[in-house]
Amino acid sequence: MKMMLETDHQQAYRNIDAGQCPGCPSNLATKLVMQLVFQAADRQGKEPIIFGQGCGIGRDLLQRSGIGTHDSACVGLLAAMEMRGVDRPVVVIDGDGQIDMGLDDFSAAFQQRHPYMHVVCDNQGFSASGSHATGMTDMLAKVSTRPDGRQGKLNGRTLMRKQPAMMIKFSGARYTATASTSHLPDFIQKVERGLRETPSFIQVFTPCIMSWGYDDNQSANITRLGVTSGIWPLWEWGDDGFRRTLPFARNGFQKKLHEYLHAQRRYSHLKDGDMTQYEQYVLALNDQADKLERGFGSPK
Amino acid sequence: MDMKTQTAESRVVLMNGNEAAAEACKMARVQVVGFFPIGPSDEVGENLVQMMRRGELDARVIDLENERSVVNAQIVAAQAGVRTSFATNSEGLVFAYQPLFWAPYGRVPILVHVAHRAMEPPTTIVTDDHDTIIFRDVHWLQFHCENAQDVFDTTLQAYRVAEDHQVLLPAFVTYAGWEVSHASFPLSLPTQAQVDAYLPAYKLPPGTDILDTDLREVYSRRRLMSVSYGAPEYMELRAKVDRALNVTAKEKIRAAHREFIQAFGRGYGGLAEEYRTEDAEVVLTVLGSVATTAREVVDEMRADGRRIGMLKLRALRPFPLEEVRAACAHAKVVLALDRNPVYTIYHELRSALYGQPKAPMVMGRVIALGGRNFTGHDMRDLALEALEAARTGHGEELAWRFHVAKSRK
Repeated sequence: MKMMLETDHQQAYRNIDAGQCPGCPSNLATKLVMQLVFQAADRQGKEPIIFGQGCGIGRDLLQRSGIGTHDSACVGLLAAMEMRGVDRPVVVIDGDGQIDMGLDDFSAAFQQRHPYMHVVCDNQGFSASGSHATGMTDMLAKVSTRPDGRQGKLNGRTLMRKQPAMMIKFSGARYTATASTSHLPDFIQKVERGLRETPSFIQVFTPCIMSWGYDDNQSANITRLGVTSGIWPLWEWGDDGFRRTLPFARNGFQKKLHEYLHAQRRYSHLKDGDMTQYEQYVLALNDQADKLERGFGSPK
Repeated sequence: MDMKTQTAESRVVLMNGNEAAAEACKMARVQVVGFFPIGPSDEVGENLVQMMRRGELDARVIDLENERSVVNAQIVAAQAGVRTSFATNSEGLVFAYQPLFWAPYGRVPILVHVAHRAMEPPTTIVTDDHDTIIFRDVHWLQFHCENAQDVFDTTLQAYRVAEDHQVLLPAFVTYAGWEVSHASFPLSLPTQAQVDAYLPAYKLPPGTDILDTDLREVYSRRRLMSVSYGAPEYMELRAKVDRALNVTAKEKIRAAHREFIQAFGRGYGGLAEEYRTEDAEVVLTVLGSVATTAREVVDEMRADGRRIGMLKLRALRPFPLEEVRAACAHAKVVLALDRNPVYTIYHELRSALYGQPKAPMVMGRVIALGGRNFTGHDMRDLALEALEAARTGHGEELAWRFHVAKSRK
């Protein structure tokens, strides 16, 4: 396969990393998504319109509305395009905090089946705003503002992360998936399918160097470990049903999980008992995906 | 209202304020209709949807989960080159607080009708101006209408001014909930050709059409989301917006009004309407539907030989500074009748008249909050108080007027 980021389309996104942390996974994911969107546009002869902003994602001159409003922005844009007889792909790229803040927009836009693709670079926190928690912050991760944040809990309670890709499937999304840049063919397939089968939502696993607390040469490693440890099951759910796109190896996942957790400062407070709890959590996440595949799986 | 003449083609119909707002949007050929329910405004959207169903209007509806979402979608639709409308009030407006800043500072000429509703708590659905008054500080055009005809005509003028490329600011067109929104008035309805001739189709400024932009080139300039360092021009941008509102829009509103009179044969004053103020010792200053009562009281008291006049602020933003100073040049007392609990007109008048030669005394009265009755008797009492202050040079500066029921005998 030709190496990504070395194509003729490079100029379209080459400057996106003006100022982001070196090795920022959200930045990489955004570049890849934009490249795929432009490649699809070249095939179709329709120039895309891309909305959204975020720390690693960057922002551009098309920033047309406030924070947490990209889905309602798309609704307005698509209404105007329809009235003007314009048919072009519309794509949102933003972060997990935007999903929380604009959950009303997000759910309504999908429920009303507006034809666009939403890609979220999920770094599990308001990382550019002091590493505060979002609904997608993972279990027991330390965040700066929880009273007992040193234990990764909120008011003594342990929270699981919210799963917007699951939520939105039951609110009108035609295609929804989780993805990771560590598994590139899977990532490419999902973005291309998301562009075809709108409204679509793709939740991309994008670690954050600053708020997760790891060395900036470890982004690729942590991204891969997130998937192979079972923390981030890869799946897709389209008209043909639910499908895990990467099998989960139940034997021996613990080693990778421990490696994943130990590599991050946000988990530096975990003790042995917490590790056991985390293993059970990963099993539960994967049990959930297995059950969905059994219940809603596409015919082989 | 000075209904001077009727053009041959127009016809007189009966409409309430909400129907007039919807009819004006239809004749303005809005292309995107925002909708989210809140009484007494939601009848505007309902009417527009009915018009679409009957094939009288070609538009798309934006119907999202709350007012923030709807106004945001409205803003982006307008940036993509279509004329939009939305009607809301009170809790709905404050729900949309975030995009209400985006519209003026992003230079997006959207229009929002507000059939006023008092703010909660306590729970209420009746009217006063407080819901919109609080947005005087975010560089929106803000028009206050007296009756259905005023709503219709002002809507056309507001679109024309807001969309002018030298203005490019959003506009509120407001009127009293229930008292105007649901009361029927005779309305002189122009023909579509007349409206089309007065209000050109909405056009984006050259070079700003998102659908006609080399996006690859734009995307290549994506940058770090670092607003604090990324907008060195912030202050200059705000200064441009301020000038667009407080200098350019004033002239545009006056011009739009002059041309409206030529086109439709009726007018109300551009930024403000003076009524019998020429030699007035006391000038009652009001917004919206209170003007109807004020005009009647002025006539009655003039018949008794009292030198009293009325000034209706048609626009609260931009504030009609020159008109206020001219209308109050000979007054001894200016009485601000505020249908809000924060003395807005009072403060505006104090600010406008301070330092003027022979500046009149400004008295403020809070009236008719939460739909409270405010009759001609109440107004006459207040006017007599002001006349007494004009005579003695002393008067209570600020007070709340709670309605006093009286027989007219």
